Amino acid sequence: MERVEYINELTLSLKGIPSQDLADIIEDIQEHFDVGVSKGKTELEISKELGNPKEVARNYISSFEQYPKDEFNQDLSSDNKDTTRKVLVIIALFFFNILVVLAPFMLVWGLLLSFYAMSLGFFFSGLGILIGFPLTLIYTIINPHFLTRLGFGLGFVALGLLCLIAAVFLTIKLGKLTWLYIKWNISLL
Amino acid sequence: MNIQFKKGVLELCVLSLLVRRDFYGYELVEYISRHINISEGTIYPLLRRFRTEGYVTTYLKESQEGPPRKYYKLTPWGLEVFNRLNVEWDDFTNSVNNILGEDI
Repeated sequence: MERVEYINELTLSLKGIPSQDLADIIEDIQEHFDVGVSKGKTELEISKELGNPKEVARNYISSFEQYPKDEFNQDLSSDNKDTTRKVLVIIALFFFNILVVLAPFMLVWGLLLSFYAMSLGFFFSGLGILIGFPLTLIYTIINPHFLTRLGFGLGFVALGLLCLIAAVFLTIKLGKLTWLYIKWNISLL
Repeated sequence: MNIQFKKGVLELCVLSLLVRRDFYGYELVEYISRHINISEGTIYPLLRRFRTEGYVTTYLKESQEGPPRKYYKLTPWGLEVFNRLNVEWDDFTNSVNNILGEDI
């Protein structure tokens, strides 16, 4: 293609870059054409040797917009866009967690806590029946048969222990879920 | 050949020329493209990056044959970068040659 067409295509493909940078780039390419022509080449030959202007533009954009981290340079890319996004995500998550997540979360953990309390209740009341402590107060009124006491006492103790085991199991599961949720929150950042 | 690899090697080649003397854009581009089959248009962005990263500085010099030409001059930092790339290249080619030449 002719020089003018080449420059135009290049300029178009470089749309969006700062005007000073664009001017510098075009200046370089113009000089290349000038020198080439002064050495006897045709504009067609020169533009063919330079290659597709879109491709050239792509090379410019990838080499100066993105500053890759190599061993010699620090990462120079500005994190402005990324920081803004992160702040927005934090705000959104904050409101989401408070409005939607917090109440059910507390409910579930609260239930778990009461489950513990219940299992402890069973356990100790079972013990109490076995040992007979509270009943000594009303001993004269109620005197259950030894076997009844043994049965209920052991039963409640066992129930308490079983509930405790279940509670621990549930705590582990719920803990894992909570942790996963937290990690998901973090991963959005 | 992988494009990233080619770009890295191209860097080394261009820098190695500038180590020897200053060049203006056109002659650098011509020299390289004579030896490596690439579009000349990939070299100017490279030179531009060299400038923004401080490997080279530029100056204009008048010429009898035509318009003033922009010359590229290697900086001490650019020389440092060249040396490191050169070492990397030696290591790499030696390793490859070892693999190719070794009896398994």
